Amino acid sequence: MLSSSVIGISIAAYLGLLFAIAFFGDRRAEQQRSIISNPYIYSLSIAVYCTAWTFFGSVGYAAHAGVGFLPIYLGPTLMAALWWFVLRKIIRISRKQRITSIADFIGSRYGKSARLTGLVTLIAVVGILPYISLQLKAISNSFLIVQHYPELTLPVGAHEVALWQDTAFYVALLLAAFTILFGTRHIDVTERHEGLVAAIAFESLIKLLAFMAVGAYVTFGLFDGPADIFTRAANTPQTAHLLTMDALPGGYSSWFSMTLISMCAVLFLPRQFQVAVVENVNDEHLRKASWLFPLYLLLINLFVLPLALGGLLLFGGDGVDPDTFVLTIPMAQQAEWLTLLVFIGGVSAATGMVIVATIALATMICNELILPLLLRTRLQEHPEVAIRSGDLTKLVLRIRRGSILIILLLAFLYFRLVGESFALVTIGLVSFVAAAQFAPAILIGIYWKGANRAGALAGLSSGFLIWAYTLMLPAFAKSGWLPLSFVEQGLFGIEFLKPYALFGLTELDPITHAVFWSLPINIFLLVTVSLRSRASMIEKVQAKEFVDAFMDAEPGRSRVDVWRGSVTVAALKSMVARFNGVAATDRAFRRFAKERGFDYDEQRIAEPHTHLVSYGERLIAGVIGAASARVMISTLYKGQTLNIDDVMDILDETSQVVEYSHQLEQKTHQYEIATAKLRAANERLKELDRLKDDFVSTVSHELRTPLTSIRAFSEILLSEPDLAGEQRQEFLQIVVDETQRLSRLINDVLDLAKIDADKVQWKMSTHDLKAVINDATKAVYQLYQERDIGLSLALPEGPAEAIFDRDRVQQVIINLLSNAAKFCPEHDGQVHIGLTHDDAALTLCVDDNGPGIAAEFHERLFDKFQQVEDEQQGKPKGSGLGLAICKAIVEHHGGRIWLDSAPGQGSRFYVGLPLNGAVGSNDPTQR
Amino acid sequence: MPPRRTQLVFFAAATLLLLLNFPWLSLFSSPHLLFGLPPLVLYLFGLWLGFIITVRLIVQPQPDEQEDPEPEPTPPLRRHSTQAGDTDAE
Repeated sequence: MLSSSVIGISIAAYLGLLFAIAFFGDRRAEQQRSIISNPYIYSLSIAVYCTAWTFFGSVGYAAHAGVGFLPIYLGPTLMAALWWFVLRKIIRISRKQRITSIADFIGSRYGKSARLTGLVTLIAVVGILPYISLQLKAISNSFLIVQHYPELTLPVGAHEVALWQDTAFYVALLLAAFTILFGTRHIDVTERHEGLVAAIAFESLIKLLAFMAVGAYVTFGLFDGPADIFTRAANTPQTAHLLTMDALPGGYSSWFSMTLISMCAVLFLPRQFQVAVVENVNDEHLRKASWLFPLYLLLINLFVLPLALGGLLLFGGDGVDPDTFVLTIPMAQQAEWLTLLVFIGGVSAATGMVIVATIALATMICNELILPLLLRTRLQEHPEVAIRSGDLTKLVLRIRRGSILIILLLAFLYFRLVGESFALVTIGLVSFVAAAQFAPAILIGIYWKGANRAGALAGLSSGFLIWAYTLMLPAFAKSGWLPLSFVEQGLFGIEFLKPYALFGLTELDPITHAVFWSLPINIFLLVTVSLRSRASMIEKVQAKEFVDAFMDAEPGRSRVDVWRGSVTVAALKSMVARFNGVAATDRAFRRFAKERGFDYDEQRIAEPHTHLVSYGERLIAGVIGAASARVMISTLYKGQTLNIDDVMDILDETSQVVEYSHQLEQKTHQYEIATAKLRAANERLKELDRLKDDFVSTVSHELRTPLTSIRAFSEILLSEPDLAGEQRQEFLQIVVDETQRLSRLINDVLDLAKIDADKVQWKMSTHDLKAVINDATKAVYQLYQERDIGLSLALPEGPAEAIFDRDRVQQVIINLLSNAAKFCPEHDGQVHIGLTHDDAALTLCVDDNGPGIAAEFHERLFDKFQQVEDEQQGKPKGSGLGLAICKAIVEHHGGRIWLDSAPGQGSRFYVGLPLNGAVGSNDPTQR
Repeated sequence: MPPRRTQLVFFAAATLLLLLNFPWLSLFSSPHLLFGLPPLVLYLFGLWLGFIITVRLIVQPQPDEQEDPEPEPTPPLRRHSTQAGDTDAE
């Protein structure tokens, strides 16, 4: 006999066991020996997805819609397959950003915006409250049913019971106590509630076992296997249609929309986000979870249809609510222990959801709604007090506990005032559609950097408003809170504004209708508004952090530290310690410093490159959420002239400029080199141009001088025939001399041009340079005689042989000798020819005791028409081409010509000739 | 996971989404029973189980798989250095 006391004791024992498990889990977590760190526990904890709605409601829904309950589980199966890509990215991001809730996640993605997190929190609370109240309803109803065991009495409406007699009220209080005890022990939410997760996983196991037990009992105990149930159902007119798609109320469109929203819900319901992301220990677990979790769903749904059909067949049209079949079938069969098991299974399904959802919502309310407001107002009034008023941890905990209590009481209120009039599934689906509104902001946000805060605000608020108008307000109307005409005739009686048939769309059921309007408009506004508006710098930084979550192999390397300015480490530490405790903060900072490789004790000012401030911000964010953390940290910078957006502006520019300047630096360097080359080339060209002009003018000048004298003397001879014979002789001699000079000049010019153009026929062969020198001295003998200049030779003994063009080299020597003679003083001049040779080269030296040449002319001396002008002597005789020709000839032989001279010390011209002949000896064009 | 298997999972999920919609479902929506079971139920649960097994086969780590298929870090830096090298060569 199941009495109230037995039930009470069972419940107490069950909750006690949960406490024990949770306690054990927390203990093991403190010892660093996590019991939840494996994929099986992780998958079971995600199975918090299956609530009382699954446990009781699926059967109830199947009893009038056939397989219509399945999309709620097929959608998550589809999504789970993609977890390795989608969920893993979300987990990575959340770990890095120390995300505490789904509101925090969305807010952080869009520039740590407090307004956005507030909106998400609002949507979550308003959307999920009915869902929590659904669980309360399930627990209290099943309690009321079991209480009357073995009689089947359906619970009376809650309105008829006084508050203190309402079971749901006590259930709410009990759950609040449990949640507070295990959900708000730690203050850093990202440190995870290991004990709680262990308890939740255990609950998932219990509800699965209980449901499969009752399913097996009905299928194989009461009936003769599934084939028996289905055959009998097929032969019963009332149930036959349930076996085909015809039973679906909304048809295929409803099927599809339910698949879609449950795909979103399994990730973005706040409690799913809590267990799958925030409580995740290791993202490797996703591999197994992505098929284990669907397997769990498959198992828990295996007996839904047999139970529904069995219940319908057993009770006929007895008026038993199909939502209670799971419980009432074993009761009707007097299966005492099974009834108790099912009851506990139902309680576990409901409590698991309530606890996790409440913690998730309380975290959001505390971090995203209350704390930002509190901090802002307090900071404005007493900026000193807010920071220095001691440990904020207690305040945060108190706010969170209060939020839990308030959420559960609100859910209870909803249950008493509205929830009565709906089936379990309908309430659940309303929440699903609300949660699905988060999907665009998150999914688009983690793959597209262009999505920004304005877009997210527009998308989310539009989706939320449409949801409220098409699902929530009609629910109020049906509960008598609003005139029913609102639903039936539309707002202000306007046909087009009927909440279930917006703009005349009458073909869809309410859920599909709401999905059809809300989700596409949500996405459309998110994308278009993002494209049309400008993102602030912090939004850009966060967008990059989120989208490129997997890019950052080296943590902190590419991170931009958004905080600039000077903050002392001590101030930062005391700020963080307000939330995390002094010892933990010190430990965390030291560990961070060690990872980043700087000496923590040496830091007095938190310098930007250490990212210490950002790290501190993340530590605080782990407690109170990103938006609040940003406000807190910004107080450290109070009074400093830059605000964060300014800084971000500067930073954004700076990072781009750094990138550019790096490239520019390289380019500039290249350009500098190129410019130098070009400038040199240009100089050279100018020089050549000038030389050419000089050459032409010099040549014409040099030609004109002898021509003029030839012409003058010829004219004299012509006009004065009776000139004295002696004088005539003299004049004719001058004409002959000048003619010779002319032809010599022309020869020189032609020679040089030939050498320059490589048109000379070089006759390379082995000769003795000594012989050549001797010949050359003979050639200049006349000249030296005339000027009475001494010429001495110092030639080595033995032959000095080398490969060269004999005539040309002789020309060089003659040139040098005549030059020497020209510049030596008459009568006192002394010219000396020396020849030395080593293994590689012969070196000829022509040494004179002339006036010498200043060092500045040495370089230019071998250029064409370069003559050293002397103020006393004027321009020397000669074409100015001699040395240029010598140089060209010597260089053609691979040799070198240079001089050693200074004014007053005479000149020594050297010619070096390699022994093995010229570089260009075989092929002159090869030069 | 190697990109090939990434694509496989997406393909499998897309296929399932397709098979779970009109008109595939209507093919099996028949009042006649198969082994005493409705074809629609058989189809849905069979497909479901098949998909779970498929995902398991694709997603579980292979013995030859190299861990952590991360994208290679900071490619832009490398581009800089090659640019510098190019100009030096010139």
